[in-house]
Order: sequence, then structure tokens, then C-alpha cells
Amino acid sequence: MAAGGSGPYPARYYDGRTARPQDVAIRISGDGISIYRAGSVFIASWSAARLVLAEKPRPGEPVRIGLEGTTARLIVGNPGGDGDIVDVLLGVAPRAARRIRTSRKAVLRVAGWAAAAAAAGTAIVLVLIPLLAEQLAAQTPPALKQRIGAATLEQIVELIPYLPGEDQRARFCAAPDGLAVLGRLAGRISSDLAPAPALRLSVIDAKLVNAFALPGGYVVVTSGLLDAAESPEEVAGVLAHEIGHAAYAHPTQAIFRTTAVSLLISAVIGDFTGGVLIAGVAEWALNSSYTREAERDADRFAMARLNAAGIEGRGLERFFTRLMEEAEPDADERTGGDDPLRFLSTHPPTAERIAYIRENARGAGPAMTGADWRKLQSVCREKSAAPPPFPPLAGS
Amino acid sequence: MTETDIGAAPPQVAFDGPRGPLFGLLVRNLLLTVVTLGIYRFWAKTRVRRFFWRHTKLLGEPLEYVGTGGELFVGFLIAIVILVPLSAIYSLLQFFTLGVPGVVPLAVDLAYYTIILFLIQIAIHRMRRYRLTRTAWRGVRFGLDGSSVRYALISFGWGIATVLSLGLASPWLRVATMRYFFNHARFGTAGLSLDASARWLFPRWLAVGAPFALSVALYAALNWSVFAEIVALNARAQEGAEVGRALSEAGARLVHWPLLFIVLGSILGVWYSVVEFRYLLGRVTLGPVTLHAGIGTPFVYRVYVVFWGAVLASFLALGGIMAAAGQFGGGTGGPLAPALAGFIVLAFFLFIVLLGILRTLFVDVTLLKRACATLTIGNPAALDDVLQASADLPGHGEGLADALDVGGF
Repeated sequence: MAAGGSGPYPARYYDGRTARPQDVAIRISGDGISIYRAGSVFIASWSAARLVLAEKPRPGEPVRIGLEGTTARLIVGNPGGDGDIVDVLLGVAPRAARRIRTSRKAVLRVAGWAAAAAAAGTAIVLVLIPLLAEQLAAQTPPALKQRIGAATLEQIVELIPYLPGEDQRARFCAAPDGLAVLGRLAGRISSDLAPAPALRLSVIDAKLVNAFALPGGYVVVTSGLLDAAESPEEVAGVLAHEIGHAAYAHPTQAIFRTTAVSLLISAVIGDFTGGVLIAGVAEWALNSSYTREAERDADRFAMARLNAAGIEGRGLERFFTRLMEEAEPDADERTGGDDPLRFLSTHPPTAERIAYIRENARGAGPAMTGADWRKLQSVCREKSAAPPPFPPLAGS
Repeated sequence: MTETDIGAAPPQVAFDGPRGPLFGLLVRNLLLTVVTLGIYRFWAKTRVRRFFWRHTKLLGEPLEYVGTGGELFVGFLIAIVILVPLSAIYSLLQFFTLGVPGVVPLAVDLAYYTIILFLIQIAIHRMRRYRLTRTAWRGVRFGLDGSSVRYALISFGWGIATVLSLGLASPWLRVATMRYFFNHARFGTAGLSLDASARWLFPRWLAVGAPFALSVALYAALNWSVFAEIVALNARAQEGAEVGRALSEAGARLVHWPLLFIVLGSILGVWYSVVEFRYLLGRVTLGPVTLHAGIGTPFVYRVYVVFWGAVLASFLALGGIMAAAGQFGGGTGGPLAPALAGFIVLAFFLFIVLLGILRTLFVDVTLLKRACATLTIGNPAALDDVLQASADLPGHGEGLADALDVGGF
């Protein structure tokens, strides 16, 4: 037997070429491991630089030694204590303890990919998605936008009876004089805009307090909002805000944006089949950061238009302030938890928005005559299942 | 359990993974995966696999998992390159066909889900190839040849036949896909093969399917008049009539058997999957080496009954404690109500999260132990002569399978 080093240790040897176990003896020296068959026949040597521990050594369990880049194995019994085989091995091959599999290069490569992916993700979220949504919305043909708006409105009307507090099938309010008042108000707000937005105004009969814009110039106000408003200027403020969304094509952009966001999140979470809680939370957070910006744009638009039309802009402020007080944490207990005044919205009024309105509202005139206000408030005395003809935007 | 006292000789196949360290590993993986927004899952999977492989011993020698989390991560990035454009095209098509009357939107959906189902089959073959090439035993790697597209075509073709035959062709689907897998799998250079026949499985499949189909038919017959009423009411709602109250009244008259279907389906399904497992594995050979799987249905039933019984009992106990605490805290209007509600939600959330881990510990591990202990290898000495193959390894992991949510560990 060759001299030098420690051992011999009895071991089981798998040479990586056949599955036959071989009983061998090994000696460990500064050069590495020499492997001998019974009778001191030298069969192989493993150089110290390529020695690895194939498994983390566990006390009392055999030590599995590997040759880097192969699946050849030496399995050596390890009673522990003095002359622990792991200590001997690490003495000649200090790098053996690190995992066979993760070379430093591989770790760097993975880290590089991860950093690149994070940078790309940030760029996508901050720049690419808003830009893409804006461009795509601008390129979408008006006929398509209108079809999408109509289909979405139909879905919303179908859905409203299932909301808490709603007990009937939502219908469209159809009294012609009331709708004409709304058309005139929208006309005043959007007069001398270039290009003039093609607005399709509807009032739906529902208790919830809400107004929203859909692709294709659809602007919808609920009867709940008309009931909750204490003056026509409050309605004018909300309407101007929604016309702002329509003028900026926010609703169409939102469709492209939410699609892009959900795609991105599916990619990161690695689930293209959907249904992961964490994906929903992340999606909500990303989307609401985008909508906050859109809300600011719409508020700016509303103030500019109301000032130009000479309508008192602080109506919107009063409305928002009331909604905010209603949304106080203990408001639910006070009103029995079934408060129709709750503004059903992904973008609630905030102190910041209210302050902006207060500082920028300069109009002082009324939004409409008292007679017109009564007509608008009773627009739901006639109802229809299908949307009634959209009122013309007269009055400019 | 008496699964180790087969004389003094060590069992040919054994799984000896201790539950304590596995529990720690799974909890640690869960936490790290959550805080990294899911990115850690590749390394988590790798650690779990290393545990399961290391503790699975054939003829006294453990399997070794030599895959890495980095490989899985790179595979995932590649999958993104395939899936993101596909999903983007689908989203755009959906957008442009929104509100279009007729069959166009349906055709878009159908095309997309057909492609996804096909990709899932491709992913399954590629995932198995990755796992086998990353598995070594006695210094020799396993492998899987064949084409993933071919596997997907076989699986897809028989899948359509199974749907069209209302499930009757299911054994053929199973045998065809398993045959393709085993006939292309190898240990070193030694190919495995599966000599199974769907005709053996078919009567057993019928024995399971017939009672289930019969109970579904009975259920439909009992509720037929109510179904018809609901359909009619929905038609009237389309015309604008107020039908909400009538609908909920009709719904209340439905005979509900959800529990029956679950229980019946589970009893029959467990029996069939054990029978199928024993049959298929028993027909696998590797040259002169044969396998015999002996796991029995009573044992499997016992594992499931004990586990789900314990889950149900602790769920009820938890509910009871919460209700009692609610009384003590002064009901819903009391000063402690919000904290209590938060605590209840948290407790049930933890319970649900832990359920997956407990299932792995007390169902998967128990069944794996039993399946290994009752597995015998015929002619094991022939394994000594198997040679290492020098075929190329796939360089990256099973990204597509990960993204499409295929497979467990």
C-alpha cells in the first residue's frame, strides 16, 4: 500500500461508470484520495481540488464524497471523534464542504438574471405599461371602444342587484326632461373642448352612490348619487370629474393597463393559471397606484372646466367632505353598517384631493336653475330596461 | 405500524425521512417563499426534493437529487419568454372581440385553452425528464428520452377520446401516456419498459365509474323539475321580470348531496388509484429486473380517514373555542370584538396554510413509507451491470411545468 496520508479507511465505491458497488480502501493525502481494491491494487485517484461532500455530513451517518462534475461516489463510515473523516478531508480539501452544485459562476449568473429581471420589471411598471396603455387606447378605433363600453355597461347593470343593499334589477332612468338637463350640464362643462368628447350619458337606478366613465365616452351616474347630492353644483363637480376621465380616455387605458399588470404578476408569481391570493393583492396595489394619478388628472380637468363654465367648483369639495365623514371608521356602527352613502369606488376622496379643489375652485355661479334641478332629481320616475337615447350635449 | 419487521433482512426499498426536520424545512420554505414574493420557490423545491430523494433507499443505497434551484430558476425565465407573449396575444384578442356577437369570442377562448392544455402535456414530459436526469443512484443517473411533443400528442388524442366517451376511454389514456413515459425512461443505459394493458384496467374502472354515474343520474332525476323551473325563471329574467325571490325559493327546494359525492368519489377514487398503482408498477421491468408493488387499500383508507377525521375534529374544536371566546368577549358589539375577529381570521388562515404542510407530513410521507416498504425488486443483482449513459442533460429546469402549475414537489 502506498505510503503517506491517513487511512486506510474502508469505503464503498461507485465509479460513476457502472452501478456495481465496490468494496475498497481509501487513503487521504495532500494530493487527494487514492482508492485501492482489496489486495492493495490501486484503481483510481481523486485529486484534492475536485473533492466535494455530496451531502452535508451528519453525525453517525456515512460520509458521501463526490468527484466534482461526476456522479461517482465514495461512501465512508464515520464513527466521529478523533480523526473524524470529515476533518481529515477538509484538511486536504478545504473547499470540499461547499455544495457540489452551486459554483460561484452559477450563483453570479442567477444573481445577474435576478437583478436584470428586477430592473426590467421596474421599468415595465413605471414606464412601459402606462406608455403602452396610452398609445393603445389612442389607437383603438372609436367603434370598438363604443362596443366595449356598451358591453361593460350591460354587465354592470346585470351585476348591481347582487350588491349589498340593492334589491332590484338595476334599470336605466329615462325621464326625457331630466336627461336633457344632464345633457345641457355636460354640454356646458365640455363646451369649446377640442376635440369635443362624444359623451354617452346615462343614469342608472341604484342605491349606491357612484359615477363612472367607461370606454367609448360612456358616463354613468347612479340615482343614489343624485339623491345624496345636496345641490346641483355637487352633481356638476362629479360629472366634470367623470368627463375628465372620458376626455383622457382613462377607461380604455385602464383595460390595457390591468391586463398588462396581471400578465406581469402572473409571470413573477409563476402562475399562469390564476387564483393566487398574493397575485390579487399585488395587482390591486399596482393598479391603485396608477388610478391615483388618473384621479388627480380628472380633478384638474374638472376644476379647469368648472372655472371656465363659471360653475361653483366647491360643490365637489362639499360632496367629497361629506363622503369622507361617512367613511370614518365608526360610521358603520352609527348607520347600522348598511349605509347607502358609501361611495363605491376604488379611489376614495382624500384630504389631498379636497385641498386641491379648495385652492383651485374659482367659479361662483349656479350649475342650473331650481326647476332644472328638480327635473334632474326626478329623472327616475320613468325607467327602461335598455339604455334610453343619449341626451344631446346642448347648452354651449 | 409493522412495516419494517419483514424478518431481519433490511427492506429492499425504504423511505426513512423523519417528520420533524421535514416540518422545519417546509415551514422555513413557506416563510421564505412568501417574503420573496414567490421567487424562493425554486430553491425551496430543490431542498424538499433533496430531502425526499436522500431518504429513499433502494437496496440500502439512497437516491441522490443533483438538481439545483438555479436550474429551475433559469427554466422559469425561459417559460416566461414563451408564456408572456402567448398570454399577451390572448388578452389583445379578447379585447378586440369584446362585445362581438356570435362564436368569435368563444373560438378565441377555445384556441387559447387548447394551446395551454397542449403546453401542459409538453411541460409534464419535460418536467419528468428534468427530474430523472437529476436523479442518481449508485453513481448512475436516470434519464428520459422521447419527444415531449409526441407525448403531448398521445395525451391530447386520448384526452379527447376520454371526453367524447364520457370517461370510458380513461384507462387507455392512462396506459398510453404511462407506456410512453416508462418505455422512454432509463437507468444509465438500461431502458425501462411497461407491459400494461388498458383492457385489464377497464372492468375495474367501470366498477368505480358505474356507481358514481348512477348516483349522479339519481341526483339529476330527483332535481329535474327544480332544474327546469330555474331554467324557465332565468329565461324570464332575461326578459326583465323580477324573479329573485322565486329563484331563491326554487334553489331551497334542491336536494343537496355535495357530501355524498365527495365521500363516494373519494372511496371509489382511492380504491382505483391503489389498484392502478399496483398494476402499472408491477408491469414495469428493467431488463431482467422486475417490480412488485404490494400496498393495500385498507392501509390507504386508514391514512385518509385518520387524517381528515383529525382535521375535521380540530376545525370544529377551533370553531367551538372561537365561539366561546366570542361569548366571553362580550359578543359582536363588545370592546374586544375587532381584535377577536382579527384573531379568528388569523387562526383559520394559519390552519389552512398548515393544512398543506400537515398533509405532506401525515398523508404523503406515510403513504410513501408504506409504498416503499411493500415494494419488492425481483432479480436485483442484475442492477450491478447497468452502465452510465453519456447522453446530454437538459441544461435548465422545468420552467414550463412550474408556470403552468404542474406537479407537486
